[in-house]
Order: sequence, then structure tokens, then C-alpha cells
Amino acid sequence: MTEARTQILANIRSALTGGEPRTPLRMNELKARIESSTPKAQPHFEDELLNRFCQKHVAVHGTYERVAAQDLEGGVLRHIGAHQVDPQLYLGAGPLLDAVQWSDQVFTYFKSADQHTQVAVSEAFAAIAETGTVVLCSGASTPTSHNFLPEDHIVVVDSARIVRHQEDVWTLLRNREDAAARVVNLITGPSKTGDIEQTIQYGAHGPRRLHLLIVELA
Amino acid sequence: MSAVASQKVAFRERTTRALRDSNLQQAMGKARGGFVDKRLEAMAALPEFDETRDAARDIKDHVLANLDGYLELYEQKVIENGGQVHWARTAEEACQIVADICKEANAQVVTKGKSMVSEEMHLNSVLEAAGLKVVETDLGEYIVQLAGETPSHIIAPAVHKTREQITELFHEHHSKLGYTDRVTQREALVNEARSVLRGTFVTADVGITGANFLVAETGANVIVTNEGNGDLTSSLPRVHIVTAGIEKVIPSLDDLSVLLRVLARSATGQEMSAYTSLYSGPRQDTDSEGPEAYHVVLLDNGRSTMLGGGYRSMLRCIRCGACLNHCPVYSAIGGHAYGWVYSGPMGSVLTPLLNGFDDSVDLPNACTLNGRCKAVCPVRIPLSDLLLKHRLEQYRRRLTPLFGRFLVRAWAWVATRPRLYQGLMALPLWLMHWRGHRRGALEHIPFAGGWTDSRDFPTPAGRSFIRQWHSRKGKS
Repeated sequence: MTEARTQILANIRSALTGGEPRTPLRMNELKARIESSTPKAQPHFEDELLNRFCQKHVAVHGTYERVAAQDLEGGVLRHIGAHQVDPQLYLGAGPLLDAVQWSDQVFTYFKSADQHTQVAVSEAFAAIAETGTVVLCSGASTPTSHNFLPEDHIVVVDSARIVRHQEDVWTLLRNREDAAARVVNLITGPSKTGDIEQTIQYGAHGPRRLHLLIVELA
Repeated sequence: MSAVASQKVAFRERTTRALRDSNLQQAMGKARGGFVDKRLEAMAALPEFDETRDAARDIKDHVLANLDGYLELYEQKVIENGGQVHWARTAEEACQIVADICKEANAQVVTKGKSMVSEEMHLNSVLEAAGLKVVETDLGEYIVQLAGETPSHIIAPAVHKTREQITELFHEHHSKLGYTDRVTQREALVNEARSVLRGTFVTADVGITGANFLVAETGANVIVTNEGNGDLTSSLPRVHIVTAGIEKVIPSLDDLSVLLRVLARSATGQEMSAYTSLYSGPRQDTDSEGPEAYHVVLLDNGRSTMLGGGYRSMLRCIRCGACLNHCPVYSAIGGHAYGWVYSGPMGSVLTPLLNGFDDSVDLPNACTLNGRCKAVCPVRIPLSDLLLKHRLEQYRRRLTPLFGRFLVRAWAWVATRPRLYQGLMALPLWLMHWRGHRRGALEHIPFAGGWTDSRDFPTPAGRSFIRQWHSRKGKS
């Protein structure tokens, strides 16, 4: 298939430059454009980040509770109690979530979700005020399956990790100390579909409910 | 010539059938306006929308002008991430690559996220012929697959289906799986599909998705969905294959944000779709799950040729579907009448370029040139101008009917002789004015029945502008 590669690239070059090869100098210009990339045409808003984030999250059919760090288990129990879901929690990881001492009111699992998983509790890498989006990164203790297989997805958000624009998340990702995350999921509300009569129905293939527990540290 | 003629008949037949199909008309009637209103609301909520569209256009233009370079940079990153990049000149080559990967992985079940490029490749039939079970997982695509059809809209594949038709399809195909009740409510239909597909998601060997974007900065493929099916398809099977056109590459994550801001708003009126996901490569040592292998199949299929001609701007297309939603012709006949995977204005521009002019003569002519497609395009593709360009190209290639060509030439000959033109026009103008000035419109015009059958012709002024100009100039 190297033949196909060569020919496609040659076709492109011939269409663009009449066949002149792209010089190393030009390639370095493209690399430099990527490396020095900056945000463009960002929407302007002055709202306070936490309020804006909550308002946007609710607008896409999400729910949330603002809780103290010590009350995270309480927040989880209140949500699953309200929806009569078994307290079998598939747990992710993060500074806030790792600090929770789970009581014997819940069963905790630290593994991939499967098709019977009811609830996963994750901690967001960051959140975006612009659109009410939570950002989840894959890793050793944060499997991607937790974000999509359960019926209920509960996400812990540290209010200090709410950024203004989407591009601010890219900056956080670029400066992350850990290795780059293989999967980055930007999640804005619960799963939905409009494929039957163009009418929105929640709970298509992913979680039916997206519930946030927002923690404001002093 | 005979192939052209048969295609022409086929298009006419397809549109007539579409207009008489009461199910289609009912479904399209329900969809009509919904997307348009939602897009308007989303635009109103973002004062910077036009500025963002300009930025989106500029990013795409920059990429296309440097496409080879960005493809190489992107490829490097995918390889660094542990993935493989395959290049395919044609749909057949791309299908062969995917089939080989499936065979090597000893795959039996393949799940698919929505991918228009895989539709362009006719991938499903090739994989099925190779003995694989292929399951579409986007609800709309799943409905269309059960019906043995193709998508009729690039973002709403089953827009042409009524709820009653979906009820019957599910009953027919799900009864044998134990779902014997005939469900009719939307929520119950969605739940049934969710429940049926759940088992397939977790047992699939290979997951195939498309890509809304390929990011050269990180080597990630980006998929944008509302259902979450694309993510289950990307993350659960042993092998993940991404099929994408070569024009999907973009430089950086910051560029991605600009394009995402116009994509969902133009498509469904959302600020963000529920899931925007970036997947880069196979499972790493530190991952507890994820595919063991990650392949990207880059498809050319005529795109590199498009770069060189006057149609390069069409490669900016981000497949949002806004031009379909705003097209009166699409809204009347639906997507299938266009005869190939891409429909509406973007389809009428793309199909002749990717599939050949000879086989799609009618598409650029099935257009009223109202220009709404051009006005709503998030990357400012001058769609209606490109359709006109197609017509010109057809004329040059002598693909248009002989009599029509004669009329155009005769008209051009007269129109370039102003005195003759005015002389010839004076009588018909006066006649039309005399006949219709009381009502203000004409119901019939000789030799123009095709036009006046379904609308009235506004009565012209009795004398032409030039004559009036001359006589008034004389008075002052």
C-alpha cells in the first residue's frame, strides 16, 4: 500500500504546486503553526464560571448538586436513591474521589464497566463553562467504558477545574504531567437521539442520566 | 449517451416516486423546519457566529493548501501513538484494506458507528460478502440497515421513515430475539434498540467509525455523536478501524474548537453534541482497557483531483447537513432520489466529482438557485455557484440536451445584439402586459406550460426598462 500513499501524495502535490516537492523548510512552517497554535474567534461572555457551567449543564438535560468534599458519598446516595438504582458503584479516580472513605452502604468496583453496569462514578479532568461540558480522560484507573455503558453516570467536578473556553482544556492537556491521555471524552449532557421523528429521546446508547457533584474547596 | 439517458429517466422516476410516496412525504413534513429553527436559535445565541464561520473557512483553506504536509504530520503522530495508517486511492482499495484487517483479526462481528465515507465505499456489502456480521449502531443507521436501505440524510439517516414504519421494522426483526410486543412509542422504540444492540457492542471483535476530524497535533480522530454509539464502537472491540477522507485532517486542537463551534450549531442547533471524543491509538501499557490495534484508512477516491480544479472549496465540507435542511428540493424529494450516498446541495456538487459527470447529469439541475445552501454553510462553500459551474461544465462537455443547447445559443446570439433583442422582445412584452395587467399575473404562457403549471408568472411592464429610460430622458 506504500504505492497508494506515494501516488496520493504525488497527486496532491501536483494539484497544489504542479508537482514541486514540499521542502523541509515548508514542513517546519506547518509544524511551527501547530506548535504555536492559539485560540481563534472565541465567544465572549462575562458570566461567572461556576454559574455559567451549571446553567449550561442544566440546559442540556443534566442534573447537579453542589456538595462538600466530605459529602460526596451522600451526594451519590441521594442520586441513586432518587432513581432507585442499586448502590453498586464502578469507581474511577481523581484527587477528590480517591479521598472518599466509602461506607458499607455501597459496593465498590474498580474495573471496566460491562453491559450490566448501573452506575459509574468518575472525576472530571476539567469542565468547560462555555458549554456545560465535563472532560474525562482515559487512564489506568479511569476506564472509558465507565462513561458510556452505565445507566447513570455520576461525575465529580472540582469547581477550581472549571475553565472558560474549550481551548483552555487543550492547554491543561498539553501541560499535564502524566502521559498524554489516549482517550479524551467531552461530555455535554446525557445520551440522546433524534432519529425517530426528529424528536429528542434521552438514553440512546449511553447513560440515561448525567449527574454532577460539584465540589467547591475553600 | 445511452447511460446518460437511462440515468436521466432514473432520476425523473425517482423524484416522481418520492413525491407520490405518502410515507416519505409524511416523514419529511414532520422534519421540515425543525432543523432550520434550531439552527436559527443557536445562531442568535452566538453573536460571533459569522466571525467563527470565517475562521472555520480559513482553517480549512489553509489545510487544503498544505494537505500533503498535514497528512504526513498526522500520519507521524498516529504511528508514534502505536497506530497504523493505510492509504487507499479508491473505494475498492479501502474496502480491501478493512476486510484484510478484519480477516487478520479473525473477526466475526463488526460494529459500526456512523461513517459517510464507509457508505461511500459500500463497505457493509463487502464485509458481509467476506462472511462478517456487520451491525450499524447509530439508531438511524440501524433502522436503515434493517430496512435494507441507505441513509437519506448525512446526519439523520432515517429521516425518511415514519414511526409506524419503524415499529413494523423492529417487530419484524426483533420478534425472533424475544421482543414480541409491537412497540409504538418513541421511548419504547429507543429502549428496544438500546437493549438489542447492547449485546452486540460487548461481543464485537472490530469497531469501525468515521472521523469528523483528524488532528495532526496529536494524531487523534475526533467523533461527534449524541447517542454514544460511536464511543462504544471505538472503545469496546479488540480492533478499532477509522475510515476517513483525506480532507478530514486539521492542524491543531485550537482549530478543532473553531470547527466544533460551527458544526453542531449548523447541524442540529446544539452548542455541543452530547459526545465529542478524541481517540489516539491502541491501548497503552497504562490503560486498563481499549482496543489492541488501531487503524486509520485514509480514502482519496477523487479528492486529490478536486484539489486542483475549481471545486477545491467543496473539500472544506464538514458534513453538517445544513444545506440539505435548507434546500426546498431536498425537502420535497428526500435523499434517496439523488441516487447516491450524498444528497442535497452538497451531494449534487460532490456526486459528479466523485462518481463522474456522465452519471449525474440531472443533479446540478435539480436546483432552484435560491442560494440558501450557500448562505447557511458553516465553512462558506459557495454551493449554488458550484452547481452553476457544474451546469457550465455539462454544457461544455455536451452533456445537456441538443435542443436546450440550441436554444441557449440562439438566445445568446440575440442577446448580444441589443437592438435586435429589444425589437424582438417588444411585442411579447406588450402582449403579456395586455393579457395580464388586470390580475397582475399570468396563469398560462404559450410554450412555457412546464413553468406556469404550478405557479403564476408576474405580469411584466408593457415597455422595457431601456425604452422607458429613453423616453423619460427625452422629457427631462
